Amino acid sequence: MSGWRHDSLGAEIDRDRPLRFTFDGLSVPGFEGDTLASALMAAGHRILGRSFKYHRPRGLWGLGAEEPNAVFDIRHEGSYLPNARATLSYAQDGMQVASVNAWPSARRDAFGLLDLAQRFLPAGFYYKTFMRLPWRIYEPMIRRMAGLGRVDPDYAPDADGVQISAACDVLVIGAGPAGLAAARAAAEAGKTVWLLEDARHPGGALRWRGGEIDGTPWRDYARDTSQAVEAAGGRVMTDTSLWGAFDHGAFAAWQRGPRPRHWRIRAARCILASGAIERPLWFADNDRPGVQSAEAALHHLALYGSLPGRRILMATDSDHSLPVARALKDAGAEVTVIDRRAEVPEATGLAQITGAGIEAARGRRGVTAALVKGEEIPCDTILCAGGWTPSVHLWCQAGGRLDMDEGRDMLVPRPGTAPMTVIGAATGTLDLAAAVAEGLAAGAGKTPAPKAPKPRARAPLRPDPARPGRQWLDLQNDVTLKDVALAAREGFTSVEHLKRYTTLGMATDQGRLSNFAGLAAMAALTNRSVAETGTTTYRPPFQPVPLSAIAGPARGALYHPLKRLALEEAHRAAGARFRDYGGWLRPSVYGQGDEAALAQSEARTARTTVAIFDASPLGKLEVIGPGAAALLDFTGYVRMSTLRPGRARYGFMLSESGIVYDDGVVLRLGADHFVVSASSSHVEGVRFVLEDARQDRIGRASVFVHDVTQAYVTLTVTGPDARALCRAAGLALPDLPHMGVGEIAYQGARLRVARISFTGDMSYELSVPARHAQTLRARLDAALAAFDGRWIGLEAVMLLRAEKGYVLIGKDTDGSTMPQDLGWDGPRARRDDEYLGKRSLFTPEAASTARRQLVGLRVPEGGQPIRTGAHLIPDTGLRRSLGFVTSSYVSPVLDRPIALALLEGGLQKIGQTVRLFDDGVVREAVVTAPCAYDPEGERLDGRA
Amino acid sequence: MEERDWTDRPLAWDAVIATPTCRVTRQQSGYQSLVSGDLAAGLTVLAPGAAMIGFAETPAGADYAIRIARDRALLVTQSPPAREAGWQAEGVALSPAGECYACLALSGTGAMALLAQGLTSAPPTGSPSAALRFAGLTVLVTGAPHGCLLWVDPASLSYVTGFLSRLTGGAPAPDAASS
Repeated sequence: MSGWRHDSLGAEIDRDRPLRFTFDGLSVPGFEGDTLASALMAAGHRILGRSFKYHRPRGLWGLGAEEPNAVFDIRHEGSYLPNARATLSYAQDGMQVASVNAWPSARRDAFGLLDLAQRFLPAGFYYKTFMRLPWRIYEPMIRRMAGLGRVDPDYAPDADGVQISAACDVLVIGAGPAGLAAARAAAEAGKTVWLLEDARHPGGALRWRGGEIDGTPWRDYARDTSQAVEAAGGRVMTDTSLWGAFDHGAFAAWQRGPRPRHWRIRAARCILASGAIERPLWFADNDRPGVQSAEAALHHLALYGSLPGRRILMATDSDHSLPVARALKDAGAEVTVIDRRAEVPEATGLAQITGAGIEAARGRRGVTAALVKGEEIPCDTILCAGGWTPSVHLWCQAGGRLDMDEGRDMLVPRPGTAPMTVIGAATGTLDLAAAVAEGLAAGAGKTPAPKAPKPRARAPLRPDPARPGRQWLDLQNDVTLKDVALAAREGFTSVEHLKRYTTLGMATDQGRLSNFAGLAAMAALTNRSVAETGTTTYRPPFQPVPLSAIAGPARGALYHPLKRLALEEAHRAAGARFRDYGGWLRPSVYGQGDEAALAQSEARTARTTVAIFDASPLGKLEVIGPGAAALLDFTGYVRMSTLRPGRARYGFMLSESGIVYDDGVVLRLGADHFVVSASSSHVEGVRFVLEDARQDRIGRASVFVHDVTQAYVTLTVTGPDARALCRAAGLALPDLPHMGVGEIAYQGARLRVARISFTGDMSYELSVPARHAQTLRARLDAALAAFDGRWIGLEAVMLLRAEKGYVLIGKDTDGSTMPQDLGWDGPRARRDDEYLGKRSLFTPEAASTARRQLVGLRVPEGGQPIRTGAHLIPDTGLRRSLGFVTSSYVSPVLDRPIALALLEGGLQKIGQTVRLFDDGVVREAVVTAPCAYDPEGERLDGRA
Repeated sequence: MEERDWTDRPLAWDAVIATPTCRVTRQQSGYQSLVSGDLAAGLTVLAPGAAMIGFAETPAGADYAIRIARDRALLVTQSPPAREAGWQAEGVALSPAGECYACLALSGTGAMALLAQGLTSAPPTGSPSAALRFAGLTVLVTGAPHGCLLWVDPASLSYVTGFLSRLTGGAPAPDAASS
């Protein structure tokens, strides 16, 4: 333990309000206002985690979202949050904090010995090993030994995450000095400004460095800016991570705190003032606990009074970090500055070693000394001031490109490549006055002037391959300089390959600390410039966001909501059991007991007397206008312009590739009035296809499509006694032929009657406005008993249609099925006009007789049903799939199994015996026509 | 979650979802018809005097048309249009739509804030179209004297009821105000 707390410093803690939390089971004191990082540092905890792969001890590095090591799983008052950064999590009394990737604790990690085997675990070792046994043997072990936080399967967060959509004129990301200036200028120009800040307070680095903005003390400037923003109708939100920049000015932000909120923000303009991240230095064992960012040390000292140690070495090559050393010395630490520059201004009162850098850190569980100019200097802390990396993740998420600024040794945003204005340190401007000027200009709507090239003062700091020992580039993903060299040797020189091969810059860290070093190292190894080497892609989220925040209320029944029938309550009262059928919650069967047996019984009733089912989800797309027939002819495989009013016709809709997309019946109500009865699950899709053709081909003024599916309830009466039942229910049915359509008056409304059958028996589809559904249902229900009929669910309907060989698109077809494969070759052979998908029906592949075609299958007498999905296989030779069983049932009226299948060249094999691979057993079946029941269609007219 | 276990129901006519600043209740609407084509001409013959309203606009009269798209609207009238369904000589397609949309009234000062929690984008200002995405559905939003009206597919009413209940942290309760 080396960290400690200063007696009086700490602007953001309240020493009158002490608290305690546990870290890996140990009690840790702190004060209100502390972050977990500052409290742990003050309490002297150095090992805060274990590294991803080698389980090396790791300590605190940074001050914000860039923290790679101190990542915790946190429990507090019934909540659980994995992968929280210690630097952004506020200590609270009673919190239980656990390190990640360590067991039983970060201090005494049982897997710590893995580091001794590091030479056998280089980058990409998992691509070359774990071949002998199945991967499922290795995977659980590897998952236990590597990774970050763990999901607690027993913890189900409340689905009460608030998500709000909002809009503003100007979104300013980052409330440092540049961001504050931009927000102020924009607000004073009358714009609605949203100013978002990741930290608890605005001010950026001025919170710990102090200073003025535009001649005003920064605290006053921040306060006045907040007031100006709010007065103009905007918002200032702290503790808010803007984690994603998306297309068309859309942004996602997570506001932490007691009532977390997830914001979806659309901004007319975006100003990015996300600052810069201090870059590490690269020396042997630069990952030891006690090696930290110099700026982070000043941050923790000024805001929380926490110091990382008492004997501190600070390595730098600029004056920017000298205030850090002075502040630490003033606080009571012994500080030595190791300055890479040979000639430097004398840092008053500070011990200095010039013209030198850190060569190695010493100490296994924490820094005990540093090697400088070949000599060991005892110390407990090494602070690194390796320069600055602009925080450009959001810029890149928005599509922005980067340029290498050689003078500043930074990758900076290339103006004009993303719809954002980047200001301040995020664009490489580290000078306070210049950053504020950029902010004021951007806020006033001006484009900042291009930066003048800056001559390079000295050779840039880089990882040195010649230096002995392991130099860590990516602390979170355990990637060393040697790993990058190995990737280069093995040919993974593209930055995207480097990333995947070594995991550099992946995971929650997103390369904040590592990407630049990795790119620079690869550039040096391949004799290219950083610009030539390129950069990887940054993706949302910028930092971890709880899935509960992204999911919001969409949980349980709200996750994948199903559409509900108007008569659901009545079906429930009648004993219906429900399932999801094509996005609708519909009765599967009625009654208690075995579902399959109930379906059999219901199907038998439908064949014997009469049955009713709720067919309301069938699409009712009204196509109206002089161009209606032309639209349907173009979008349908079967011509509809020849259909007479008062009649219905079955047809298909194809995709442009000729694949069957949907089937259904089209009703013609008048010369320019049709109803497309699309499949329940395809209503929206069919409507889109119709709209496409309407607007692009037929003409938007001559035909229109209205979806009135949910305005009507459709009850289908089917069975030999269907007509008699309807009449017994008081419905004055018109005299309609099969596929005839008519209307009758019903309680002041119109009831559409269509003689359309999906079961093969006489059927009446009765459609009424939803407000009349209850009475229609009651009438039909009351009449059922006299006919010994019943309500049936979708399982029985599926069985009845399979007996007839009627297909269900998507079940009995797949992504290659064309209409001719279903026995519908007529329009393809006869239509000479254009229709959707036509050209694709005449390719050599489409004309092949070996295509998978719909057939029926019959098992030998007494055989068991074939499983749906069983594959048809050749009699001889290599086993391969000739097709598969798409539907399989036991027919109650035939008293035997029936099945439908897609089989290569199936139509030519009718009557032949084929073999099936059915769940590990090879069986035989005879190929038949798809229709197993009433092939002549004699039952369509019902009982005489 | 097994869909068979679902117990959610559409908001009952005599129930309310309440927050301190917003109440959600069912609202009766007039006759609904879908109208497409030359909307100005259509309104003249189908519902003379009916105004076309957009997002969060409050109709002045009892008959009005809610714009869904450039050439499509939901006509809400106190009595059915005196025309046969289908193509009209004025260049308009007409479909009686019964209860094609269920209507929820969100009343109170927090109505728009509650709505914003489900909208895909921020509530627009002055949009001539009342259609937008709410909770993953295409809905219509019109104005009302003390809030707004949310028009949703009736088949999705159970879902929207559950969604609004979860947003407000409470299940629907009997509406004391209406009793």
